[in-house]
Amino acid sequence: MLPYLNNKFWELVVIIGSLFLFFTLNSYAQTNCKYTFRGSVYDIHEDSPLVDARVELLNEQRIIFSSEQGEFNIAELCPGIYKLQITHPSCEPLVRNIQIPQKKIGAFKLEHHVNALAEIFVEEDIRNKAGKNQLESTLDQVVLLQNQSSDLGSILSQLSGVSMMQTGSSLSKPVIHGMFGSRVGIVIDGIRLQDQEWGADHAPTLDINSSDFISVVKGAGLLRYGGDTPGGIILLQKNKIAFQDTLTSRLGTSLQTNGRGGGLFAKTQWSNGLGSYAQLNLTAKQLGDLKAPAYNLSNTASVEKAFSMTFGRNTIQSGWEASYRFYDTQLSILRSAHVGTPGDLARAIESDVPLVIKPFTYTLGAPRQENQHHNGKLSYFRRFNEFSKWEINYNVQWNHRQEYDVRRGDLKDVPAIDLQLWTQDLEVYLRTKIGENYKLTGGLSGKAQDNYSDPVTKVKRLIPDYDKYHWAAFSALEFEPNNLWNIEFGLRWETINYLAQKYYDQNDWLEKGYVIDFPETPIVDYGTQLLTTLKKNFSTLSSSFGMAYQAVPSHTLLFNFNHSERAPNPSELFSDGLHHSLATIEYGELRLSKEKVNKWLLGVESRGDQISYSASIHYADLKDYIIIEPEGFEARRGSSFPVWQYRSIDGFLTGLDIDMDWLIQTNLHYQMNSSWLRGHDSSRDRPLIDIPPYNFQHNLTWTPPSKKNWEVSVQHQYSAYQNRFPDNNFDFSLLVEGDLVDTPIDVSTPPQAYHLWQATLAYSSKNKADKFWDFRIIVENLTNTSYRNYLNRLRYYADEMGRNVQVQINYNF
Amino acid sequence: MLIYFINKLSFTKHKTLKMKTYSYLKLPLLMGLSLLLFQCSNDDEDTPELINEEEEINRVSFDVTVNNSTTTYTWDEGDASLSIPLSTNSTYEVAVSFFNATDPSDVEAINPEVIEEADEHHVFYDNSGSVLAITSANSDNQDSAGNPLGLKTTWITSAAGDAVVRLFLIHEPTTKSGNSRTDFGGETDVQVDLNVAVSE
Repeated sequence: MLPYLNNKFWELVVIIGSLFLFFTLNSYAQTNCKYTFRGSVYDIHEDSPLVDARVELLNEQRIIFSSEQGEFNIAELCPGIYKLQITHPSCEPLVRNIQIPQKKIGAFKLEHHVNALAEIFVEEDIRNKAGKNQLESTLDQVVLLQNQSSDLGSILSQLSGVSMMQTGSSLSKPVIHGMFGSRVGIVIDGIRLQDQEWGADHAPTLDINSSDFISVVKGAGLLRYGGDTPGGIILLQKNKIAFQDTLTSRLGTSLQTNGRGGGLFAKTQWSNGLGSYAQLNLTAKQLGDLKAPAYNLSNTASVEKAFSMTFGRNTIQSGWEASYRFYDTQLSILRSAHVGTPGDLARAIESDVPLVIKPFTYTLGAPRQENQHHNGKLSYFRRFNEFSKWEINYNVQWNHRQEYDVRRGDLKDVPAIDLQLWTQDLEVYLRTKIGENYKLTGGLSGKAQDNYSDPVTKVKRLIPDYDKYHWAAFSALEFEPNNLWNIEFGLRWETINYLAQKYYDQNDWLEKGYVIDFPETPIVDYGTQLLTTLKKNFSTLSSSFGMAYQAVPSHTLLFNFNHSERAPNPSELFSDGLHHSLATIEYGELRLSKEKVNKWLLGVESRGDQISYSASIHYADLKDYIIIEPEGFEARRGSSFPVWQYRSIDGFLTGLDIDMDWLIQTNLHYQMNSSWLRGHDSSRDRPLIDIPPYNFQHNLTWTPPSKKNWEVSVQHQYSAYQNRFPDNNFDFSLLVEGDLVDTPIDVSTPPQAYHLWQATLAYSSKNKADKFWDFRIIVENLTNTSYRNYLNRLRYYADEMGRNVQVQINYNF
Repeated sequence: MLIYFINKLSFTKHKTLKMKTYSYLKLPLLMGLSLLLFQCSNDDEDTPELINEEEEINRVSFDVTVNNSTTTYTWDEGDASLSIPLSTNSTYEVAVSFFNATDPSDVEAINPEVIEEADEHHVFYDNSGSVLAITSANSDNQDSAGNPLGLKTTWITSAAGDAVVRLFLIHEPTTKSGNSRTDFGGETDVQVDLNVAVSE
C-alpha cells in the first residue's frame, strides 16, 4: 500500500510540476500552417477575465487553456473555418465558429450558471466540513440562536466530550476530552484566536453571535490551525455566501430573571449575484449579580459589547475578504472568592454560604476582569482550476487583559494584571488535486507575538514581557479512492522562539537552580531582583492520520491517530505570582520541554431517517505533559502559602463519547449524549486533577400535531461525583484557645453529583417566507437546585446559579 | 451606499489584478513585506521597568508601653512567631504598626493608609488563649461609624500563663465586632503569631 502511494505521489508531483510549466509557457506547436488565432475569455457578468477556460478546437483535438488575463493563442493554424468550444468549470459551454485568417481578436463571454457557481463554494453543505475523516460535532444556527446570551464554554458543553472550566457562574472556557487552554485551538473564520488562553480563569475573548456555526473537532487532526492542540479545535464559521441578491437581518433580545438583565443582538447579511457580500453583527449584554438558590452571588455582574463586520467578494477565480471584530467584556468575580491567606480559604471552605453576601447590584466591583480584543483579517484566494486554489491570509490581533483585585489605597483602581498581547500572523495556503483521487493541501505561516506587561500594576508581573516568533509549515495529503474510503495524512513542523525579559527574585534564581542550568543568561543585577533575558527555542513536529470508511451505506467508521507536540506556553515557563482565588503562589518552570501527546480515536457514525448516533473512544498517551501541582510552601503575609509549580508528567487520558438523535414520531424528538473520561498521572500513580466527571444529558422535544408553530422541550442533565481526584490538601495552623493546631484544608474533594432540569417553550410565527418571529421561554435550573461543579475553580465559595427564566424574542427579516 | 462601495471596491481590485502580469510574485513579496513589519514591531530594546510591590506588608512592630517605658518588638516576614514577655497583674498599652520593608532602604509605613481607610480595615487579636484581656485603648483610631480600629489596645494581665495571640489586619471586614476571626469576614492582609508569656 505505502510504496504504491509513494510512487504515485512522485508521479503526481511531476505531473503537477509540468502543469505549472504549461500554464506559464502557454505554447503549443503542431502544424506547419502559419496563422495564429487570438482570443480572450470573459465573464459576462463582471467583465473579468476567466483563467484556465478550456478552449478546444473541435475535430482537431487541440486543447489549450486561457491565461491569467483570460487570453489564449492558437498558433500554426491553416486557413479555414473551425469550430471552437470554450468551457469553464462553472459556466455554460460556448461553441462558436471561427475563421482563419482572423479579422479581429476574438472576445468570448461566458455566463456562470448560478447553481454551478454556488456549488463550487457550497461543496457539500452551507459550511465547510472540517474533514471527512475527523470526529466533528456541530452546533447549528438554531442551537446558537437559543443560546445567544450564553458563552462559548457553556454552549459547547452541550456536546459529548466537551465540558467547561468555570470561574464562578459567569466565566467559562471549553474543555475537550479533559484538555483546555493552550491544548484547545479556537479558530474564527480560519484565524486562530490569540488571547491569554493559558489561564484557567481566562474566557475566550470572542462573541459567539458573530458566527453561524460552531464545530468541535476532537483531536489534533486539523494541522492547518496548529499541531499543538491535542484536545481539539473549535471552529467558528459563517454561513457560506449565496450567489444571489439577499439581505437578511435579525434583531433579537434576550431577557433573564437571574442577573436581572439581558442582551440585544443584531445581525445583517447581504450578498449579491456577483459574489459581493457583507456582514454586520452587534451584541450588547448586561447582567447584574447572579443568584444561587439560597443567596446572591455578590459581585458577579457583567457587561459585554461586541461588534464585527466582514466585507468580501468571491468570484470564480478569486475572492477577497476583510473583517474586523471587536470584543469587550467586563466580568466581576465572586467577591467572597478573594482570599488573603490559607486561613481565609479554610474559613471559606468551612462555611456553607459565601462569606460576602450583599444586596443585588449592577455595579462591577473588584475583583473583576476587563478584556478587549481586536481582530482584523485580510484574506485573498485565487483558483487555478476547478478544485485548486491558493490563499493568503493576514491577521492582526490585539488583546488587552486587565484584572482588578481587592486592593488598598491609591491602588484600588489600578489593575493587578495588565497584559497587552499583539499578534501578527501571515499564512499562505495551497490546495490542489493530484489526479482524480488525491488532494494535497499545504502552507506556510509566520506569526509574531509581543506581550507587554504594564508596570503600572505595581505588582510583580505574572507574565513577563516577551516576544514570540512562530514559523510553521504544514501539509496534508488526502486520498479518496472511492465513496467508501477517505484517508488523510498530515504533517506540521513548527519552530517557536521566545525572547523574554523577566525579573527574578534573586533567591528564586538561585534556589530553583536556574543559575546553574542557564549560566549564559544575560543578567542585570538590581539587588534583590535580577533582570534576565531569556531565550527559549522549541521546534515541534506534529502528525496526523485520519481514516473514514463507509462500512454500510448508513454507517461510517472513523479512525484518527494524532501525534501532537506543544511548546510550553508563557505561563508554564515564566509565571510568577499570587493567585487570590485559591490562595496559592504559582511558578513557571524554565526547564520544561515540549509536551508530546499521542492520541487515538476510533468512532462509528450512523445516519438514519429515524435514528442517528455516533460513538467514539479515545486514548491519549501523555509524555512530558505539563500540569501545575502543589510543591511546598512559601511564607507570605505571616502565613504559609502553598506553592503550585508547573512540572511535567507522563500519563494517559481515555474516554468514551456517545451521541444519539432519535425521531420517535414526526412530532417527538429525543436527543442524548453522554461522556465518560478518565485521566491518570503515571509518574505519581494518581488521578489527574480537573477531569470532568461522568456526564449524561438528554432532551425530549414535542411539537403539538395541531399547532406546528409550537415546540415544548424538556432537558435533563446528570453530572456524577468525580471519585478519582488527586489529594492536594494541605495544613494550615489554626489557633485554638491559645494553641496552634495544624488543620487540613480540603481543596481536593469534588462536589456531589447533581441533576439539572431545563424546560423550553418556543413559538415561531412565519408570515412570509423570509420574515418570521421567534419567541422562546427557557427555564434553566427548573427545580432551583443548589449544586457545585467540580470544574469550577470557585466551587469552594458558592453554589452555582439558581433558577433562571429567560425570554427570547427574535425577528428575522 | 455601503453596497455600492463594496461593488466599487471589488471592481477596482479586479482591474488592478488584470494589469499585474506576475501575480504569483506577489506572494513572496507580501511575505517579505510583512517580515519587515514583524521586525519593526519588535521592541526588545525597551527594558521592562523594575517593580517594587507596594502592597506587601512584611514587617509588623509592636510598641508595648508600661509605666512610661516602651519596648518595641518587631516581626519580619519569614519569622515563625514573635515572643512578647509580660508580667502578671499589669496594664500595657500596645500600639501596632505595619510596614512594607521590601526595599530595606525605603521602608514604607502602612498605618496612615489603614487609618485613612478605617472603614475598610480592622485590627483583631485572636486572644482565645485568655491569659490576658485585650480591649481597645482610649487613644485608638476610629472609623466613620465610631468603631475602634484596633491599632491601639490595652492589655491587662492577671495570672501567669502562656498562649499564642494572633494578630490579624483584616481588609474589608463584613462587621467590626466579633470574638473570632470568622466573625469578621473579609481578607487577611497580614497575620502575626505572638507568643505571649505572662510571668511573675
